[in-house]
Amino acid sequence: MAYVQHTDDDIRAMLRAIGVDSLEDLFESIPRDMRLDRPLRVPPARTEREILSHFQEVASANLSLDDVPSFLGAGVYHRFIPAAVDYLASRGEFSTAYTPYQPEVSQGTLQAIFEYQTLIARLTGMEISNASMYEAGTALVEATLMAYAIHGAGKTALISEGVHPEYRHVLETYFRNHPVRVETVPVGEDGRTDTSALRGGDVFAFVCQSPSFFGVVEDGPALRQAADRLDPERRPHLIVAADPISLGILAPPGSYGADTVVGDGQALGNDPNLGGPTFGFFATRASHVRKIPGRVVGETRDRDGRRGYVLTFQTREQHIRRERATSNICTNQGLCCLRGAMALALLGESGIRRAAEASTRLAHFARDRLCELPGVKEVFAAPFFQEFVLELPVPARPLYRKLLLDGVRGGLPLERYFPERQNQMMFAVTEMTTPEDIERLRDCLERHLRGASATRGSKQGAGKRARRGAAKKLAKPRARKS
Amino acid sequence: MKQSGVAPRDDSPPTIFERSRPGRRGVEPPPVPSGLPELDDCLPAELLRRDPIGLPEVGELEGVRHYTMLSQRNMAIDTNFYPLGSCTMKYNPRVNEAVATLPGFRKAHPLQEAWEIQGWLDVFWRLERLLAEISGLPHVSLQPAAGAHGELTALMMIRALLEEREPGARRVVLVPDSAHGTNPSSCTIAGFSTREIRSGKDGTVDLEDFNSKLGDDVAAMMITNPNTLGLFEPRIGEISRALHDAGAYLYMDGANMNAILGVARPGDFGVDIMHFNLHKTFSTPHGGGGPGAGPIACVDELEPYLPVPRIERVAPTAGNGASTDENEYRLCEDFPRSIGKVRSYLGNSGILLRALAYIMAHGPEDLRRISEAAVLNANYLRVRLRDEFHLPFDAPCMHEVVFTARRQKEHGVRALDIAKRLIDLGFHPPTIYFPLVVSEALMIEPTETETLQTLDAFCEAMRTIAVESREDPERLREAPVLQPVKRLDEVAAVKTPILVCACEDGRS
Repeated sequence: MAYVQHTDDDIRAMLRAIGVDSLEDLFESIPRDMRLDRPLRVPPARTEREILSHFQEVASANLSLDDVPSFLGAGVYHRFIPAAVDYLASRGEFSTAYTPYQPEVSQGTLQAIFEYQTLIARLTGMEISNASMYEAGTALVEATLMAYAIHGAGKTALISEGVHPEYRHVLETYFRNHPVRVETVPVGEDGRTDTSALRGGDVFAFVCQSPSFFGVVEDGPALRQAADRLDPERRPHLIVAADPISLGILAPPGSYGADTVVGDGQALGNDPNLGGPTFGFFATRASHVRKIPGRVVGETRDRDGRRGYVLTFQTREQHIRRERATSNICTNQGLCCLRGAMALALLGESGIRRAAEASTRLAHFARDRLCELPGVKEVFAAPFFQEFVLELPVPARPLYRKLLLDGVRGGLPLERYFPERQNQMMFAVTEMTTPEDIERLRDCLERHLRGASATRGSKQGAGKRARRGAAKKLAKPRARKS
Repeated sequence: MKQSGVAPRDDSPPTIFERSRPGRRGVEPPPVPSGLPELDDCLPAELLRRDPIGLPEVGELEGVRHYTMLSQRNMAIDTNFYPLGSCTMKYNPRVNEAVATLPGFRKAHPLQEAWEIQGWLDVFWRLERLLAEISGLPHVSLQPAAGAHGELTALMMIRALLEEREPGARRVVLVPDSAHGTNPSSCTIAGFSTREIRSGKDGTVDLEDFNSKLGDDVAAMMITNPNTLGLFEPRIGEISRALHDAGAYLYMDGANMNAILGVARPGDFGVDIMHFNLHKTFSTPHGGGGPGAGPIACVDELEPYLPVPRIERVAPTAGNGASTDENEYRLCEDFPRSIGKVRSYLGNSGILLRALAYIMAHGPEDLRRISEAAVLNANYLRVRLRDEFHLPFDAPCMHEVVFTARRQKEHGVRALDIAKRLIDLGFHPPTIYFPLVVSEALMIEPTETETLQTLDAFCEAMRTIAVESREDPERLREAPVLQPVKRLDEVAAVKTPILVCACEDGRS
């Protein structure tokens, strides 16, 4: 019976109390012809031990980021997570509670969210934050919807090509059935959004990302000015997607006049988890509080004057406003944003700064070392934070496979999102990367680039076989020296 | 709730910011290695932050005590009976957590090549097949991050199909007045307007009202079945046929699937597309408000519109499913009629994994027993409490039962007061004031995992409250008094919003 605790006696006693003869009788209200007349075709029940060993085997068919040094990023990063985060967040009092509708028995969750809102507001340089959203892509959609509702005039949202292609794709999906028009603003040769290309008289929002998808740090004040130039009177909203760790050292978007700042919180205390669940953060101006999507926690007093916390401004939300709500979001990503708050609190001011500084300095070291190789050159000249794009003399995707067989996971082949960027690879470096990892990457890359010119095309058939072998070999847990 | 004249008390626990002291170090990330370019040489000064961030400076122990203290100020399934109606607060088995924290799962990156993550894709494929069998709907997408997200995704699919077939013609979605608030708001985001259907005297859809509102401008109807009153919609077959005859589709909000696992399948009773709440039916932890997952399942006709990416199986499984010898699965984005992506990457994978582990702990009989026990427990509470509490619809219920505080209101006691008094008696309150069609609603969902002893203790507490409402109503209006805080002033929270902590460095 898996997790049902009733004994046969319990069931008999309860059926008697209800006044029915059998469990089947409980379903009398379902018309007979709608009932399933056979058992579900699902595999037989497994014991706890069988479940664990099954999934241990399945898990071993994945290569994990721990197996080899990895330079894959593009929005999801291998970051340092204090050990205490796992222990604290897995406490059942946090993980098996629900949305804090009853504040007297939810002060723990509520205070944690209130503190989370404060941490995010300070990190982004904004006045307020909500209690988190699904992830960055949908947070960006909600920010755009909010801007549309507040601005009231424009119909066009401009979105920079520097915004993550996944987020842009989500935005397109949402606005397909919407009066809003979404137009893409290209990035210039240096990798920054080409603000000289901005056009349009009915723009209500300018959506950018900094550091951009390509890793480039945008000129924030220039973005604000470009948006204002479009319509100096009804200033379009400047929406900025940001990496939370980068804000440890970079000027926060609030400091250059962003109206809303969103981003993915995975980098804060959450494992990569194949990209989900993470959480999206959402910070904005205090004047937008009645339009902000999602949950918001506020401080108040109890009857004795004691400080306490409640879900507030609930009249914005779908359960009250129904079809007039500006967002259909019901929950936040509670446990993920709790982990984010814990990571921010435990790492603290100096820890976040140090993680950000280490990432950018290691990334620049990596860029310098890799660019020494013949035929390798940096694609974008603008300043970058922890990710950079290199043009290689060979296609990047097959190279990624070869590098992995050699025991290092390269960067993202940009072909995945930009077919024309076939020879480009984007490398991510974090505080978890060591100079030795970078040297290993450089050595492997050097070997393959040299080999490419000597033996190009000769090992096609062997590739697939070797790949399978590597998957098996690499999948075995292996201690990584750090 | 008068506030004036009460001096603020200062025995409330500190915030993490109030615990902070300048110069104190927390957990240190890896040090910056030597021999690297200086920060100034990496980034121009005008791009850098000038002022401190304002993050706390606390030691590790202080941080651990802070969050341990906060956890102790929560009620949870692990600590108390939690009969929050519509939320299915069942036990969250720990083996699922053990599975989800295996490094091979948690340390995987969404942009790894498909051949590197065959284990993950095997999880997705199996869960899709199981959800298809459980729902009787053959095609599944695991992309939506939550129930409301699943609703929205499904509505976008219906809209995409209709825009191809008859552009601009159908812009109305029928929604019963007992529906979750997410239903109408999802309609708005998907570009539909809503038309409300009245509940009849028996608490189910009023067929006459439904028929009068079904026109050729209707795209779909959203229905929750069993509905939010805990009642199975007996005429759902007729509703489905009428919609189909009119060229519209039937969407089912799957929030209440816990009542019908292995008993009835939405695909068999005429549903075209639905969402699951894995955090409800399939036991993934609610996490203080998320993360959840809201997969959708649909009929053949809607399949081309499912969001991307989709999983394709290209080679048969060798035995136990863990295959690294072949690229058994691949991710596909090439579906020209797809609505596109509804979130970044591949879904709330960690939640999907837990749900799969949960389903695998149940064979065909056990899955059905979940619903049998859930319905048994709800009906047990119904008959044990109906003498003291008003039942607006006095009929056998499914997995939850809706009472009201009508009798207690005669003594000036409201549903809210009952909820607050329950807290001091050691129980999480039921959902109150929902569904909206019942005034002073108390919506109780015990779930299948509670013992008879717990249900009896809860009934005892409810009966105590019924007695107190007659004899000592003031006590209920004062409740709770045994919690870390008493009732909080929600009006003041809106009037004078404090949404972030004003203090810094322990100086409040």
